Amino acid sequence: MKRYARLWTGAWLALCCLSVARAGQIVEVQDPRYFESQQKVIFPNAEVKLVTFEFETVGDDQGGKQRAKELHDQFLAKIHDLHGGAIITFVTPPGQKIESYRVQAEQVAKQQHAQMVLWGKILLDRGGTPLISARLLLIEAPPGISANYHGVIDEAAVDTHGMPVGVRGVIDAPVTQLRMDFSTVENDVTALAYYLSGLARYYKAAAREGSQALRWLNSSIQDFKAYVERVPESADRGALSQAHLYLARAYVRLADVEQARSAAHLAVARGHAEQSAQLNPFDAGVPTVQAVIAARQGAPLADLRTLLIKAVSLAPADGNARVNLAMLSGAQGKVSEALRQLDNASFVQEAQNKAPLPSVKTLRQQLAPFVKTP
Amino acid sequence: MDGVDGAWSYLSKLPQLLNEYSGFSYPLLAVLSVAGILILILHFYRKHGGREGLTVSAVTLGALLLFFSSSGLFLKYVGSMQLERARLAFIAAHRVPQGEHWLLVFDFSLPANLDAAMRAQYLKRMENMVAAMSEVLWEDLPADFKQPRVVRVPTSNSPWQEGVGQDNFDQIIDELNAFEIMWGNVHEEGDQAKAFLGLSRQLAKDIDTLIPLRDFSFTQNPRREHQFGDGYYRLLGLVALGICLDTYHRAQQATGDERRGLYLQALEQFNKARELVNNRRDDPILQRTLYSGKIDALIQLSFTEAGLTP
Repeated sequence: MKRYARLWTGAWLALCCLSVARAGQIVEVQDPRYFESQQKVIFPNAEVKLVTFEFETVGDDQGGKQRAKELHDQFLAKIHDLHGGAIITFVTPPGQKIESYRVQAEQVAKQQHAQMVLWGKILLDRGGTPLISARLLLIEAPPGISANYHGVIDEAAVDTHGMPVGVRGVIDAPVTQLRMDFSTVENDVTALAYYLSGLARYYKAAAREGSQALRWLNSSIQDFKAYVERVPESADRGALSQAHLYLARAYVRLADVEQARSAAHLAVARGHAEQSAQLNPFDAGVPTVQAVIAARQGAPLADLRTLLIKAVSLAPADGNARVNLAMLSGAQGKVSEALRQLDNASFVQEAQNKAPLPSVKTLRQQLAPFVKTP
Repeated sequence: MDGVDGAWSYLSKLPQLLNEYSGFSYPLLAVLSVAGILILILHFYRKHGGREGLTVSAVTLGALLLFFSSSGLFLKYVGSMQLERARLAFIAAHRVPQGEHWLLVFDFSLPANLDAAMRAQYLKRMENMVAAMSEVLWEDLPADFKQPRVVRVPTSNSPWQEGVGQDNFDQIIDELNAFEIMWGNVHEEGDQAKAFLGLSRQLAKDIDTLIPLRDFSFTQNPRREHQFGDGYYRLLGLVALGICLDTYHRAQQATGDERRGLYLQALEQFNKARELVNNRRDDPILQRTLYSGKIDALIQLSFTEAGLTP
């Protein structure tokens, strides 16, 4: 019996290993026209899929394949427990280079139904040290975070009704940074693998509610923290800022899951958001995330307003940021100001040939009863 | 035979003399012509009055002076016309079409003591540098910016044979309708190069328009500096800034909703450009340009003009 039990256990272990191995595939592309035709979707049931390509190289250097395979293996090892996580790496045979193929990274990733795609370049320095420059594009952004807030418009503010009105507002902070240009790193793809693994885990966590999200949130936090520890501030402020922003989002979500420790999680989230703002004061996504955290911590509406104004200043063409500000203005009783922001939100959408935001119409209708008639 | 040899010798010297005279200035040639005419007038005046004319050698001198100086004037004029035609043809061939963004990269000035093979090698490096810069802009300039073309301009065929510098870069930008140009010098040792970027003064009224870029190794692969090194950020940031300023300039000239839309686009571009090179926001050159208070003022003005103040 013992022997059968061992066999049974061994078979299970082998099956587990096999299923882990199946979450990653290195595709050696031999036909230069491969990417021009419709490809078969690899890992069609994957929940979070990363597509990567052999790094482009200069001259006869074949190191781009090696580094891509290293990144593939490291990412795969890091997501070993992430069910539904997958990576596909496209490389060319020895002697050939990916530059000769007509690759459109974004298009290939879309065909593969992937959430993320990564590509890059390598240059061998005079000393033989490879300099790696990687680019990441999110094909489908993971869910962001949001916060509800309450306000009371007093009678002085709303003359038409003459009595206080309770209002509820929401701040929506979607993930808007879809492209990440990592600064050049020497020799090592380990930090990059941590960032990608943290992001993959965040994708998985953000699609879940309650305790189901807990494990993935914690592991996402671990990986992003490992990334932050490895990359010095002077090396890549942009990527570090994004890592801190994902940490802030993860802690906000953690505060929802572990409500008993909500205050502590929000305090940590705030710290990460502040670091993110310090590292990249030009990212419009950061003040909106800060506003969400402040709203959840019960900050006064005036404080939220300062942050939302900053978000609009940094992303003047972002209709969503203007709707956030309009809603807050409405909640503060500044109805005409709210309507002006809604007009501006409509204008920026139109100027960029984008569809009108449904929330503009809804909010306008909600504000209509409070519009003062001359 | 001696006479024929002498005449042949004079004839062979004639083009050389004509060439020499055409190199003189217009006033000098005019003075020489007048001197020749006066000698001949004096000679004919004396003959006409029944007196003895000037000596044969004086008359010959007058006739030769008149011939050479008038020929010099003619050749100089024809030469200048040809140069002007060549200049116009060069400008027509390299002038940027209206509404497009081209970054013109002039061949760097090379050390004087180079042989033909080394010169060819340096020019090959120029070509690689332009390709590396094109790749950077193609790949990393955000979609909000209209992709500029990076075009190499051979200085040797250009009307600016003496090179590009602080005295003439703005005139060149105007003549070629470029929004930015780049030029540089390869140091005498031949391994280091100094590059400059010039922004149109018409676009950038209140900020530095002549921007010295970092010295970089001209013997290394140009990708080292422009795709993987610090030069990457300056190139990207300053090209993006040029495009932002161009959008701002067009917004100033537009009217109605187009004006509002262009100010919105300029605002978005200013912010994106700053975010793009945030990793090197402490760089002194970027501080003086893209991150300067003058750009802050343009951003504020754009918000007001677009009626989109938060």
